[in-house]
Amino acid sequence: MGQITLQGVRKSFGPVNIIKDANLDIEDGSFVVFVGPSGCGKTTLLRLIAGLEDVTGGQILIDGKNVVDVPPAKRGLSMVFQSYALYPHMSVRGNIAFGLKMAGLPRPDIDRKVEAAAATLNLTPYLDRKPRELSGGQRQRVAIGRAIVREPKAFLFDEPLSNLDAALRVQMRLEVTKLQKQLATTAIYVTHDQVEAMTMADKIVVLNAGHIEQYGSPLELYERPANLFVAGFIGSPKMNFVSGEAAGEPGVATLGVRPEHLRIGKEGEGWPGTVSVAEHLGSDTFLYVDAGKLGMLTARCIGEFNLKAGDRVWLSPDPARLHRFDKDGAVIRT
Amino acid sequence: MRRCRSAATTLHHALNSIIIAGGSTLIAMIIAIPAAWSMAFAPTKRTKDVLLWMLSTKMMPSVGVLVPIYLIFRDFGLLDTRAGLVLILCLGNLPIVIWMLFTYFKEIPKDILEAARMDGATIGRELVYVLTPMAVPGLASTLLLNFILAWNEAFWTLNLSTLDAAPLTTFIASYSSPEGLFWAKLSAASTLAIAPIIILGWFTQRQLVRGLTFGAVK
Repeated sequence: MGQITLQGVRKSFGPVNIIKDANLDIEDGSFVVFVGPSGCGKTTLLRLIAGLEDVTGGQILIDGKNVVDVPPAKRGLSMVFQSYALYPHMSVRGNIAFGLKMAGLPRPDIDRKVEAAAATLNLTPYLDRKPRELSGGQRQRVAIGRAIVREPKAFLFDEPLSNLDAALRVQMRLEVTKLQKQLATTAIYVTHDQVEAMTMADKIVVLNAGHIEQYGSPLELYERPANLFVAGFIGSPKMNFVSGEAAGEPGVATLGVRPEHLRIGKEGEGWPGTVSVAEHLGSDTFLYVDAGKLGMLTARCIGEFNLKAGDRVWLSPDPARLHRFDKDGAVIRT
Repeated sequence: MRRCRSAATTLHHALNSIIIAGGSTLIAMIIAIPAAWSMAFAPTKRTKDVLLWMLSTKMMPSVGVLVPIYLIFRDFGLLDTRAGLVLILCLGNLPIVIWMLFTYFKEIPKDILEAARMDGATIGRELVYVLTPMAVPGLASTLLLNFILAWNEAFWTLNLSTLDAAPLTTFIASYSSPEGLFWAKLSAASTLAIAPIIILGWFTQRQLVRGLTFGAVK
């Protein structure tokens, strides 16, 4: 079991409030990603759950039990650090076995579990090497092995892939997701990379300045962002924001439309503009269009379009896919 | 007969050197480890000031305090005693030892200690299984450097000892006397004095280099 509930969790460092009243319900076995810009408090929130930081207020429940006064070792969670944090003087075997050794398991059990974890992560040939003799990806795998071998209630990942190169990151992303599904253990994953968040998560928590902006499935966040921040943060390229006044929708402070929901229409249809940059990716074409008083718009068109800078285009937004926000940035539901 | 006497004298001074260098190193380490430890892992607002103050004591030329120290030693009956030399060398090297250890301890990444805590290690076990093994190279190189510094120290030993407590440095200096400079004996005694250090350095060079370049797994 690994159900984690946050109730009014607050954290301040001196006068600075890092986490302001976080409420969250993480279901057993789900993969939850904390995402947000740097300094939004996502790592702090993870460390609060881990017990590496003390909460200023509120409760953290693991399987219904308040753990705010329980030391990290006793919470039954395991963590994968951004820096891997392997014990440099121990072999891979020693690193993976350390937690079990601390738990006082008998030697044969430890050996069996370590071998099994190593086999899952393709680390068997490296068991007797020291961390410094491994590549970045292998070290990351050892760190994950150290986490899974203890069969924790939940895994906590603190930006585990950010030190890897792009290709390896994609591969490890798949491996981590597969592993989590296979083990069916609750996982909380911190990242600033929204692609990681969208692809790995069952549910995403979008954090901004210590505040939970929205909690929901990736597609929910994409299709129904609760506010301007989430709308702008999720999705790449970013959602276009235009003033409602200019777009002919009085009463709407900001109108949002995703680049993929802008269609190139016939002349005289929709918003006129001039292409300032066209990026041809083969599968898609990204058009950066100067639309006069509407500002700069990005359009993503499927396939190849024979357009170049300076061409005049007419963009029509998909009316069913418009996002309307009031002057406080909250979405207007109709 | 004279040769025997000479050998016995040399041995006496060598023994003094070992006791003084070894003793001062040992005491300095015993004081410095907890000091550096607490400053690295539980720093307070004043930690930086304390460290700077310690270093500042090394900025004053020793000769500037020679007279007061000499008088204190005379009053306490510490002149020409091993205990006196152990004390002064220990105090003299303490700032450097603390600084070195502080930087080594500082380099141990906090993440690793946190990982150990997440792995279920208590403070005691964290100390035994994670911190100490990681700190050993740093401790070893500090120990060695401190020993070399104490072994080679000549200013205080020359000024505060004559015969009974005189280590090899004082003994070697005695060959340069008003009666003349005894080049052969001086060279022989010097070789003898540096031999143990060379041997020690030779055997610990791996440890020493590792200590100086020790870094965590990035």
